[in-house]
Amino acid sequence: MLESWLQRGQSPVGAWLIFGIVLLPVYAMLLGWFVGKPRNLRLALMGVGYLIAIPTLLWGGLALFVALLGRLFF
Amino acid sequence: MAEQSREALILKTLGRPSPKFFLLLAVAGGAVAWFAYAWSFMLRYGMITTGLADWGSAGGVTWGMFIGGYIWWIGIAHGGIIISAAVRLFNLRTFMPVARLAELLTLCALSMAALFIVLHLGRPDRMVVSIVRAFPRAIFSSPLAWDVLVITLYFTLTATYIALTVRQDLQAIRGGMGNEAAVGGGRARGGYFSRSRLGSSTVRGYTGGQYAGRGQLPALPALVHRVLLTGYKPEESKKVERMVWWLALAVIILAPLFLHGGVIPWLFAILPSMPGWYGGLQGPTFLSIALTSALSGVIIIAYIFRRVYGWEDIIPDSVFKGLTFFLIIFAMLFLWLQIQGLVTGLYAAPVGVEAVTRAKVHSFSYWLAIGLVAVAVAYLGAQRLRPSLFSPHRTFVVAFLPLVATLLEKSLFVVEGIMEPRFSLYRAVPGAYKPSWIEVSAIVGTIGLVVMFFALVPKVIPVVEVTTDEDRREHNA
Repeated sequence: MLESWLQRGQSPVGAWLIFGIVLLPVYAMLLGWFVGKPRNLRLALMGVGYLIAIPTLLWGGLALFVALLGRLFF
Repeated sequence: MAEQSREALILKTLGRPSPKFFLLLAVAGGAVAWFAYAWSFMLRYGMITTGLADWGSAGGVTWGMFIGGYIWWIGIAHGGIIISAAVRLFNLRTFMPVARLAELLTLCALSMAALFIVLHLGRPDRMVVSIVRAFPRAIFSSPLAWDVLVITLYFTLTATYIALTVRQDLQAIRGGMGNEAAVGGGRARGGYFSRSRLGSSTVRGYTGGQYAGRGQLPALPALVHRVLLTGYKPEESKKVERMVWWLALAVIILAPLFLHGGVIPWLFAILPSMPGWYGGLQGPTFLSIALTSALSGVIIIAYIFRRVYGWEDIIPDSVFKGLTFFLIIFAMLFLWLQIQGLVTGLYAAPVGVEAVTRAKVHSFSYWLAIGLVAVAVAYLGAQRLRPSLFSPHRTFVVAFLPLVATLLEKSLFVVEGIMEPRFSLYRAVPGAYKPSWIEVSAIVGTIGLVVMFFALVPKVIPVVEVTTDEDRREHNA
């Protein structure tokens, strides 16, 4: 299967590399937040909320910024 | 130094700005305005104004200082949060006073790195239109998509880290942590803090001085504090402390091993058509120079804050000595890795590798970069061997050398890597690369932005942690 992926230029190496290795520390962190002591679901969810809100704001802000530049220059 | 005065000293940054502050903002703002003009010029007339838009005007170079600047800023960014994470995980209390400054450096340097990617794309809308649209497929195979993901992740983790630690700190200065073990002045309330309810903009320890002595914060910082403290409960301190510990653990594994020692160098190291970039040596080399430049950046910022706010007791000499020690180690590692590259690249290397190594050793910029790092190592090493030579001021001055060297070395790495592809593909391409005024303006402008960031953020949040380990332990007990 790997051979056929590689031949079609659809190597899944990134999926394994990023989601299987690079993000391991993040999985460990999330596990620690939810099952580590002292347990506090509200704060763990708040942490996850930060992890969702910050990139959303970041990319949302960037989208608005580049849209503005697009309107001004293109 | 009394605890109370320590807190008041830290909160000095929130006070009314002096005329020098506005002068600094004006100078930095001038640099940013010039950069904005340069960028608008490029947007109006196209990337051809930089010479990076085609293969025919700069000896084949299409990646120049925009990518060099990107690597430079991202290197500076990576070390900052590592210092802070190490403080928490390995109990390196010496560096506690500069932990938040290092975190903030990570945040703003990462933003600058991302800005260089936007610049490099030519049309900024490609950042969203092309990258976001292609991302779900590209993540499986494209190092550029990995890069975007990992930088976003790193920014998110750093911002979350700051938000959690600042939250605890802000509550401590605003109203104590909910019991008698409250931080600092909490033990000696006196004329400081009065109310503990959220929403108050009165800050204990912040006597204001300039604000009629009532400790009343201006509207913007007060609003930011309220937002950051949303839903705060006094009993959360212990859990937040653990969450920050887990976050620090993730960062300290992720940043050196997979970011600046991984995904960032993989952008180059997996391209066999570019012998100057290809190979496993790039990971350690990128990491060593990243940590060198980051430590230099932290030394420079820490010294400036110490000087401006009279923080000789808050950021003592021991902090600079400790940072210097690690700076020497990583700078020596960088030099050692350079020797590895030169020996293997010149002795009996494949044709492409030999060509690019020869080009490197004939470049003045390369030897200037190496020389600057070597001089910094020699001087800082002498300081360690002969303590009478040590002074924070000299350390501050010397810390600029590795920073300049990194910018030179990384820009050269990008340019020569692309100029010397396998089979000398661009041999007949006319012209030679030299940085355009737009690229140089971008470097100057991003430095201006970072200066503005470090001038304005301390007006909103404390840049040194007010809560000490003892406070937290006492409170948690």
